[in-house]
Amino acid sequence: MPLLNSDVIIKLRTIFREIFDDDTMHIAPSTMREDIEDWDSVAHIKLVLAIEEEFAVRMSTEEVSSVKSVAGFMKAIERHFCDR
Amino acid sequence: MQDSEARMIQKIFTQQDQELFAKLSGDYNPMHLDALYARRLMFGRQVVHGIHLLLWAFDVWLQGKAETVELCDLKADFTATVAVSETVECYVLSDCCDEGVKIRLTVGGLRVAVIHATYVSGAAAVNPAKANLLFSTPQREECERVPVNALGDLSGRVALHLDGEAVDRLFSFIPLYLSPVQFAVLLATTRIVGMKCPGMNSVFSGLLMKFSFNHFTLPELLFRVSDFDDRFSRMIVEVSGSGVVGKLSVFYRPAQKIQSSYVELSERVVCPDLSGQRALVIGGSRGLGEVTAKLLALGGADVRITYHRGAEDANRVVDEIKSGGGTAEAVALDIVAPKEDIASRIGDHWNPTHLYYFATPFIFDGSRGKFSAALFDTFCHYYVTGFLATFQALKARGVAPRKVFYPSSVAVTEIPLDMGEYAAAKAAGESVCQFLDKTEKETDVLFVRLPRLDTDQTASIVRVDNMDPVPVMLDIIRQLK
Repeated sequence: MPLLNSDVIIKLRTIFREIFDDDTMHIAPSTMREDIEDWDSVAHIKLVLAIEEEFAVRMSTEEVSSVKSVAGFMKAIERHFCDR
Repeated sequence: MQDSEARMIQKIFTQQDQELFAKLSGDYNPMHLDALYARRLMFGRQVVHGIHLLLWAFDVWLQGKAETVELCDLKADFTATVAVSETVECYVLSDCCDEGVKIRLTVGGLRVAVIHATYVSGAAAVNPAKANLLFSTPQREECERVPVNALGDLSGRVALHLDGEAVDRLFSFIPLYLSPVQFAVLLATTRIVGMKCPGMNSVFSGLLMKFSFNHFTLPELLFRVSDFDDRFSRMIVEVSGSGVVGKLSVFYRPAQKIQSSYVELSERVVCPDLSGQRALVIGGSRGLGEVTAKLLALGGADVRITYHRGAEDANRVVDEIKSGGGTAEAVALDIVAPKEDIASRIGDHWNPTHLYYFATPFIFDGSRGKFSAALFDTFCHYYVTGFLATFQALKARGVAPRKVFYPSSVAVTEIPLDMGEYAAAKAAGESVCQFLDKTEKETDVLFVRLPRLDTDQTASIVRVDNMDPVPVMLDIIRQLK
């Protein structure tokens, strides 16, 4: 069953809030790494691991390093779902 | 609750704190204790144990308690490292029976740890294992160096220790209010990670624990690696026993970068003939300076390297070069010391024809999106005023070097968000190079924006394609011949 973008963004928001310890954080597909001060390399790994667990996907090393925005994560999740 | 509304306590962790905690926990990993060793690791400095931060946060929290507590669930994320002598702020953000306690630690506004625990008060559980705790400090052991390919089978057990005297010297309220067994369990986790699993190459990044009130008698903690993610060199260590099951999140950090030996280089590269060149390599004990010094010596140059703190590293480089038939000496020099006499340090009658300047502090010390004037100032001491002072000191002896190399960086062009200060200081250094090139008629100054090269400074748990420094530096040496 295809994922709805609205479901994905809600789940991503929960993950971002958890990782960045900010219960009021708002994210949108257009949110870039530069927009979130604490989105450093370690936080990026934690995001990837949490997203992989939530959506039961596994991103390649290239995908991990190429994602630079919330939209990037959404595309990666969608790609893995389409491949199933 | 906003940080401004929360109770805040500050602490500076000292070398004495580090040593006391190592004794208490049994985690003697040199990343925490040995400043000289730690400067060559990915953090570039000696860092406080994550569990020490966690327990100090608990000590702050428990200060407001009137009853003992037993933890139920505990989650801790260590999001950034804390250096010895940095000021850490502890915010107890919320604390109620239903939702537990949430604590945030920061350094200069940067979040370094987040802790969330649920608990029951007044339980004062008569824990049958308490009487069996070892009321002594763990015996000091050698730090294990478990290779990556052996992590999959790694498992073991550690006894729970709790030495009252060491506890009292570090904590005021934990001994009064926290379950001793749970305290000992938390201490054991850092010993497992820092000394055994994987030991030397560890970075403890977080834990998730579930405590129970099941009866048990053997005060020990079992551990085993349950997952290793080679994309990030990240492992999960499951722990169990003494009324707890949990997962420790650990990164396998890169070891110190060992540069090619003099013998290996002699078999690998063809150096130009550099006989007659007297090369002064500032910062030649490791990294790019080390590689450059060896290549210069291979070409027949008479090399003097300087070092600040790494006498052992510098002597190793010199010994390698001499053993291979080259000429080299090492001299101690602090490039940012205001009254350092560079000229006399390198020898009154030895005038370098070439200056290669690699003096640098740890370069990844910035915070994303923030520009620190203090950090910029530190970089400028090395990359601008230190460089200029070195050149001027040599010139003041009557003979300026004919050729000067200054390593700039692609960061000047790219300006990474956490390296603004570094990029700005290197850009200023480039300007000094251009100024000297125009004003010093006898001297050619070359600066190159180097790519990310494989050294201690660029080591990372995230896989990054660092370039081999040998061909890059060889090309520069050829240009400066």
